[in-house]
Amino acid sequence: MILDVKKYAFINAKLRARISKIPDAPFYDRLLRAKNLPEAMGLLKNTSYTEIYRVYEKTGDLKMAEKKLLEHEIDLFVDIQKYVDGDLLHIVRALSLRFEIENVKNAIRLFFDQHIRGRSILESGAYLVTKTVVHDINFDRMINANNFIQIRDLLQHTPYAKMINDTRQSVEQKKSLFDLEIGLDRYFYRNLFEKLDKLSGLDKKYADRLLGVEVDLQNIAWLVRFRDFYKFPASRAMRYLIPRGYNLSHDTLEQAYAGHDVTFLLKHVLGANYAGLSTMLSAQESRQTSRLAILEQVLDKILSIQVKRVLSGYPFTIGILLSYFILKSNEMKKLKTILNAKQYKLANERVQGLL
Amino acid sequence: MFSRPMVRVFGVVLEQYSDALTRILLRRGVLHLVKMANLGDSVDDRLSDIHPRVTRTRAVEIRKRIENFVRPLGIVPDIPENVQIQPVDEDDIDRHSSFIDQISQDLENIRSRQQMVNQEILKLEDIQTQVQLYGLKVNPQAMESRYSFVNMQMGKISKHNLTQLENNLKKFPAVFMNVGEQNGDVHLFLISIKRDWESIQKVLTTAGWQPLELPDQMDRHRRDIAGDIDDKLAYLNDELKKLESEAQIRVQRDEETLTDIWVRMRTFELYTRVQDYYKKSKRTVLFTGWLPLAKKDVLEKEICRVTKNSCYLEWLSVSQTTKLGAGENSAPTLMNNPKLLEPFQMLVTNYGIPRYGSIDPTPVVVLTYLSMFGLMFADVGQGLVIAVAGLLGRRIQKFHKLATLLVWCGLAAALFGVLFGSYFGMQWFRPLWFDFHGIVTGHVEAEAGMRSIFDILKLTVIFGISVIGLGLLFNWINLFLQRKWFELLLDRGGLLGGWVYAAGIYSAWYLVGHDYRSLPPLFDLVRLLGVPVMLFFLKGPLHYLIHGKKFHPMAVVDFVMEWIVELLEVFSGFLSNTLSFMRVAGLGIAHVSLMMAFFNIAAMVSGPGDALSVWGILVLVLGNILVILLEGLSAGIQALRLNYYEFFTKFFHGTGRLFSPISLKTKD
Repeated sequence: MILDVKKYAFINAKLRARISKIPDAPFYDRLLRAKNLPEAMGLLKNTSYTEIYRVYEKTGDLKMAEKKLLEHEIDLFVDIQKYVDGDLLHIVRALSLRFEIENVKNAIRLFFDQHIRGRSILESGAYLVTKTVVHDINFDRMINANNFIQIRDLLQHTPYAKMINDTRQSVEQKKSLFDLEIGLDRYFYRNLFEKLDKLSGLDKKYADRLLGVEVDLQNIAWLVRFRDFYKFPASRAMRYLIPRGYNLSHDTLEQAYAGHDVTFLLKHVLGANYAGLSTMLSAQESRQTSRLAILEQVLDKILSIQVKRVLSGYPFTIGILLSYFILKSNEMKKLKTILNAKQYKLANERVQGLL
Repeated sequence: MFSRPMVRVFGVVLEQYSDALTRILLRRGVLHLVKMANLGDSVDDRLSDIHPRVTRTRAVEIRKRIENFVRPLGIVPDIPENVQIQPVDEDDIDRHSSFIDQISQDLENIRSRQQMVNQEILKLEDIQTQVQLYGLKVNPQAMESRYSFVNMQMGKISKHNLTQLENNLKKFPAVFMNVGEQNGDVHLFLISIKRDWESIQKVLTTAGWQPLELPDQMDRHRRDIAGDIDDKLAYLNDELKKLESEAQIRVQRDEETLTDIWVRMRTFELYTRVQDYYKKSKRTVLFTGWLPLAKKDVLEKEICRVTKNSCYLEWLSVSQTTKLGAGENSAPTLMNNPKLLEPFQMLVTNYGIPRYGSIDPTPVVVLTYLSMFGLMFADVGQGLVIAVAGLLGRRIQKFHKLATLLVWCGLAAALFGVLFGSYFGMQWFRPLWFDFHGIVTGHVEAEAGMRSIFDILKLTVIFGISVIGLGLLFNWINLFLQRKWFELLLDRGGLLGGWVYAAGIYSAWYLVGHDYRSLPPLFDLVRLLGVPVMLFFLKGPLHYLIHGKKFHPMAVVDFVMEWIVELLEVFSGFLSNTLSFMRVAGLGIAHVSLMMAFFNIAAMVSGPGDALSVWGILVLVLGNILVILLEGLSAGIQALRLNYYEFFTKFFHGTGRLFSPISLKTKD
């Protein structure tokens, strides 16, 4: 126990202070009620997002503001790396890889658009976040590479080179980055679970639970994509899923994908632990996609319940760090969704469904 | 020391005067309204709420949108003294809403233009990066195919058309370079974005552009092109700034109207908030609330005037309202301190609001907080720096109270600096009280009254005893005023607790006075400590008897356990509370020690001799800055901590409710 206190006291106190600054639901409501993007941005002034407001005020460019937001988040995670060591540092780095992987994906997409699809990416490069997260990567050279071999060479010192090598031919043949991108996402979770597997006791319990629900959510989001955009058969869709989900087994997901009554299945899976969610589960939807969307909403709720439990429990565990990571990801997602919705003038009801 | 006396009003006015009543209550802003519903069963079911013609939500939304526009410009709207409180209807709300929508739309258009300019800048910056990275050494055909979005053209125009072309190309992210002149024609090299080519071509045609072959080697012109891009970028950045100002100017253009609408919406919002507290019958409107006794006559007169005496007002004293129950029905606290003491009142309210009728410790906190701070941070120079920083900080409205507190703290530090003879850590004048630095360094005059660190510790313990004693005295006064005789006599913060504390101090003094070798005589110990200890035992059974509880044998075990726990709390509590004040000495010593350390470092970097080198002076300046920041902060926090935990806990429960009338100045 003393070791736990020594390991987590400082970093968890710091993260708790940061968690307390994460905006609450009324803030997002106010943002959502704003008439347009300039009004929504105005609400960010004098908040922790004031820098984002300033960028928008100067450029009128939402993408520049989003870039600032992402850079700010990366700074926070890089900052956390300074305060931890040993296993914890490896876990923080593994968590931070999500930002790096997103940046690598974005850089490859730009390269792909320019070289394979022959599209202009002239101003798009400026929106790319090039900050170092874990590995030192020259994104500018990546965008300007002549072929995938050059990109692979530029990433030789990172784990991504192997993935590019493995998927290069299929990407070039199919003219699609699908295999590479899904490979990168799967790597993120595989690497993270490898680091988390070294934990024990309460740390392990919290990690399995929080990351497990996160994996459930990721799998559901992918299934929706596979069904709506790629029209994959079930056998292929299941192949891509990330193992180690918490509530949804492979079978449950397969049945959900095949259009079975997943709400019935979920009720059994969740049992009495989440009695409050029964109303959401009772909603009967005929379309498979809607059912999957309900599943996603339920899992999102479960994740926030789990995070609340962790935050009100024993304070010296990895749970606080993982909760911070999850809450921050949610915060970014919500903020970006609302601001983009304002930019493209989407109806509030539609946006609410996306939050 | 005590909050202002309050009086409760229950009023009934004819419904036709409800509007006039609301206006006068808002203007006077002296009534802390209480919902009629809080009176419970005494409120008749036939009474109903008042519903405004327009929902408050819409008015609030408009107000907030206006704030969203004007606050980034540093404009903070406020309701003027002589405001006309006008009715608001749906048409007004719709009209104001569309007026604001128009501004919002204009701002959105400006931001869109900003976005376009910004994107042109990004494109140009990308061209600039490409030119810098790769130069123009590569074969132009290769460049064209690789960067298919970049268009490069070589051509010539008449020299007379150059300015016209230059002006017409300004709006495009394009750069051109003059590469030479021949027969009155200027040869130009042009780089542009392919997307704009169609439009640019029109401009070129108008200027009489004649295309030429693109030379293979353009590298020698690289610098010139970079310069042209810089010029273009400077122009676009300037445009971006202009648009940013345009957005501000757009809001400023309608500032007056926006402020007027804001005032109207805000007054309407407050108006409906007052009416939320009313209940109405068929013909009458009922209201109730608290107001300072001193304001009673003025408000009564005003209400009678605006209702043409068609009102009934019943005034009740605090004691007459106790049967209405606690919570919202209890009297609120209006602290009665001069404006000068506002920063200290802030410290008190941060802990809690004193219950109505109990002691407000603000004036005492002035003395305790400042003397604690001064003892811990005694230096004239450093104190004056803090005071000046505070004076400067007072200009920022948000930090006004905190900055004023800094001024007070700085002056207290300076005063104690004079008493201890410390001026930026140096002794420019003789101390008026004792030589703190001399004691810490061990160089103190033999005949001085205070000679050792133990003397300083003793001083702070005496200070602590006085503060705790004062806390107990305040508690006795509070208990007396509340007629809580049992707690006054037998509580650990009551007279019995005070007795134990006094006896403990006497015993400790006796022990120290006898070189830690003997305690007071046994008879004295029994009389001073034994008796109150035994009396504490009576507390449990007496409480039992007073509350008429039925006796059962296990209660005896409870009495004994409670007694033991209470004794432990009394003895350990008073002891730790008193010793806690030694931190005042500790921080004072640390302050002196830190300054000494910097003087030693300054001497070391200055080398042999008495004079300080530039580096030595720099060390002292930085040392003083560090001490001001570090010690100033810790002295401030520790002084606050001692007040909260050693002083306030003796008498202050912070269970009061702040007097908060709705007025035109209400901020929330």
